[in-house]
Amino acid sequence: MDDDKVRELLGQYQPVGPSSDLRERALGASAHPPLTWPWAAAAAALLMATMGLHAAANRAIATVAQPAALLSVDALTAAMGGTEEARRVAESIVEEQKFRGWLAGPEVITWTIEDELNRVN
Amino acid sequence: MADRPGETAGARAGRLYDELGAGLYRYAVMLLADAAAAEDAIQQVFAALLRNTGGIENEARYLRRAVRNECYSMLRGRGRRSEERARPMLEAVAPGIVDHAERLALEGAIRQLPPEQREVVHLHVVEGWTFQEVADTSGESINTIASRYRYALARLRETLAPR
Repeated sequence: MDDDKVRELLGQYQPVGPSSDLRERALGASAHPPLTWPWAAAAAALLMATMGLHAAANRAIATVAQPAALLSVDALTAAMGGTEEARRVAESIVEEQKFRGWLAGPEVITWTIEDELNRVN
Repeated sequence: MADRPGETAGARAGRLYDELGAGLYRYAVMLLADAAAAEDAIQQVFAALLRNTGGIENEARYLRRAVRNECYSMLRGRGRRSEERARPMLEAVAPGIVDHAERLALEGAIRQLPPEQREVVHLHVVEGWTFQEVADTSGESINTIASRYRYALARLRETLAPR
């Protein structure tokens, strides 16, 4: 067999064609566009969970901090000796406490009366 | 062949499959020497085309290269494992003239060629490309392509010679 015969033989055959269902399989993805909404839903759920956790944590901190937030001027004054000077300091502590709570939210109000007494003394 | 304004990625892929799909599949069959693997290659390429929403300057050239890259990637992945032979790889160009023994002999001889030689034989003999066009697509020199063709013919001649 020479090259001409080989070429002639090659010319009589060709690779098989595609099966009839290949088009549908190859283009199947076009009937189902990429689904983006599940990712958006997952992101929204994650955001809601994060916000809920944040709110719950804030409530917990506020609850823990509640005794300090409810300190009265009289109680502080008595604890510091009951003098006029003690009353002025107690008033400033309570005012500062209210201001800090208003400024940064309840998570800031985590100190205790002992902390404040130590700071004043 | 280029992008058409307003055409969706799905519509473009469908049009290109209708225009070029059969030829690309035959090319993949010859490169892989495996009809089933060629289907996988075509599916991969068109799945990527569907994800590509950008413009394509020369669609035929783009798809030819994509199929070529996918086939060679698959060949590298399967290493030296033997090709699937359950499905025929060749069919007669002229219907009705079917010599099964001849077809099987030619298939066997073609399967023994390296993929690069099968590619040159297919593009030059079946698709009628010049060596220069094959060289441009494969990134090889025209001398390399001509050598591959000569080696392929010599190997086929030797394998098909009556014993």
